Amino acid sequence: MNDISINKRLALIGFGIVLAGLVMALAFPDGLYNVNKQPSFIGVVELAEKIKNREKLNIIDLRDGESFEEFHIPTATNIPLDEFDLASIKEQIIVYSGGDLLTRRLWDALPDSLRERTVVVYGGVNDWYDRVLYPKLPFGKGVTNKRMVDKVHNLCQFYGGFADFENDAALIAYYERDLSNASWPKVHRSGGLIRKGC
Amino acid sequence: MKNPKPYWNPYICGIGLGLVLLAAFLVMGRGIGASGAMTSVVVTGVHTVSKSHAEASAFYMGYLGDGTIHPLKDWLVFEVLGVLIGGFISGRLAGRNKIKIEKGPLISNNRRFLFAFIGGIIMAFGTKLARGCTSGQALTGGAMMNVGSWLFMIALFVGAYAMAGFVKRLWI
Amino acid sequence: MNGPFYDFGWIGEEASLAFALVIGIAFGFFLERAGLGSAKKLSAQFYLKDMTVFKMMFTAIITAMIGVFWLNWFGLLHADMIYLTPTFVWPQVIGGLVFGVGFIIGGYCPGTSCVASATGSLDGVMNVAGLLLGILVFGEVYPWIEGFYTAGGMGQITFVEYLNLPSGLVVFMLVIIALAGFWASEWIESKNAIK
Repeated sequence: MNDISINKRLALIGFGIVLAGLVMALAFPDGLYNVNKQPSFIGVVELAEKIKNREKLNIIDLRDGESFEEFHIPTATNIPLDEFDLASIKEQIIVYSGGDLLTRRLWDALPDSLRERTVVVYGGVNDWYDRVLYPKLPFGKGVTNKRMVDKVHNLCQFYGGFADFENDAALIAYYERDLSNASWPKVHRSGGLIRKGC
Repeated sequence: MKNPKPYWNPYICGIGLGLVLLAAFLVMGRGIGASGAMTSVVVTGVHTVSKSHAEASAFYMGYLGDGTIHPLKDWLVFEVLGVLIGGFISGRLAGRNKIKIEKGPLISNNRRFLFAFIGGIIMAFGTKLARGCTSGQALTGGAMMNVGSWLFMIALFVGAYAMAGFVKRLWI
Repeated sequence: MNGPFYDFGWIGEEASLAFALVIGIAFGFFLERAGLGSAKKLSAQFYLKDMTVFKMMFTAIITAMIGVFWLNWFGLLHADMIYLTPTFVWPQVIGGLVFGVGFIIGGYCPGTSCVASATGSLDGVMNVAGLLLGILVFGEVYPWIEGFYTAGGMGQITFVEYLNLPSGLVVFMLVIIALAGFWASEWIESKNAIK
């Protein structure tokens, strides 16, 4: 009999916690500190066009100096995340990192007022490398958006890269993606011992 | 030998297990598993016997990685080592550790071994096809509300209940 | 400091392996404590004599689910960074059915067979041996079933994205379903006990 009352008590506690969760989730869908609020993203192709058109941009590379020296997006300045001063954000900034982990840490630390002035490069320098400098582009009859292919190809040549053409119309999907409602791309720490999945 | 202590309340154990899972999510960003470690062991064996054969298969290569790290130096392998230790500790504390054969009253020891072995082979096929076992798919994916994991879980219970009537002699 | 700690680089490789051992010990401990190291108790689930498997599994699932929701809500954990096994509808449904059949014949699932082996069940050791052989066979026939293995791919998707509902609501519904299941299993157990 005592055992049953423990079970019922546990069920009641669990129900209470989850009911509170439901109320909170409906009242504050982004969480207490807006942890689920998504930043505004800029795609690498759009960024490449803006740099090419010599628009005045404030691009910040959050990685350490060594990685920056090795490779970075043209016109970017290097401010490693550890030395980043939040008070220095006066106007709109565009930030990127290798994957998105450093950018995400910066985003978590930003107050709401500064978040409005911050734009994140979708996919960071990895996507710049894979999608602008050395992209895989589709060719053949299935390609519907020929203009986009040409645009990326021109940008790739402008920045001194090299495009691979493959007979796979689905390759264009990345470039046609609407980033206005996008959420953080799935990135995981790479190169370690940890193989995810069973 | 004194009588083993009774099992704990399953809900309390479930909460404990849930908190363990939550800790894995929070610290590692991944869930727990068991079959993945066994696969690592098998793949290491295959790789030792025939290197070229292992490297020709996409399935084996997924567990071998790029070859810079030994395939047994893997998170899941260490976790399953822990499972063995944890099971032993708990069994020891409750006085349940003894050499025994778990079976129904109507079946001989050798037949029980045969069926445990066959069951293992069939189950291995299921876990590899579904990309995870009850820990890696049902628990981890279930807690993350993963669509495929819930499908797997429902199919698991359907399959086991459908088969249960045919193998009643094994257990009752 | 937000989770997952490993992905953000706050915990090193060696520390994460040590952590794996700790997690494993706790995992094995709770499995054995609830009696899931016993094939008789596991198989009794499927003859409706003892619903421990169902109770423990779903308590663990909803505990972790509620925990992830709250940690995420308080800004301590980025739930979207936790690894999700990609969904492949057909292999996962067929795999689940095959797994269920193997489960009731062998009497263990992979995690519990390890626990059973550790507590001295010889049939648990046989089950582990069968699992290892089965994985080897699967690896050998993999080239022939690769097409089926990747059938019905939906990518990494959760119910929250699939149904496009707030996560709190989905968690709430799943917890209600689980509580109803607990109530039903208590009822079934009490009914079978009277017989």
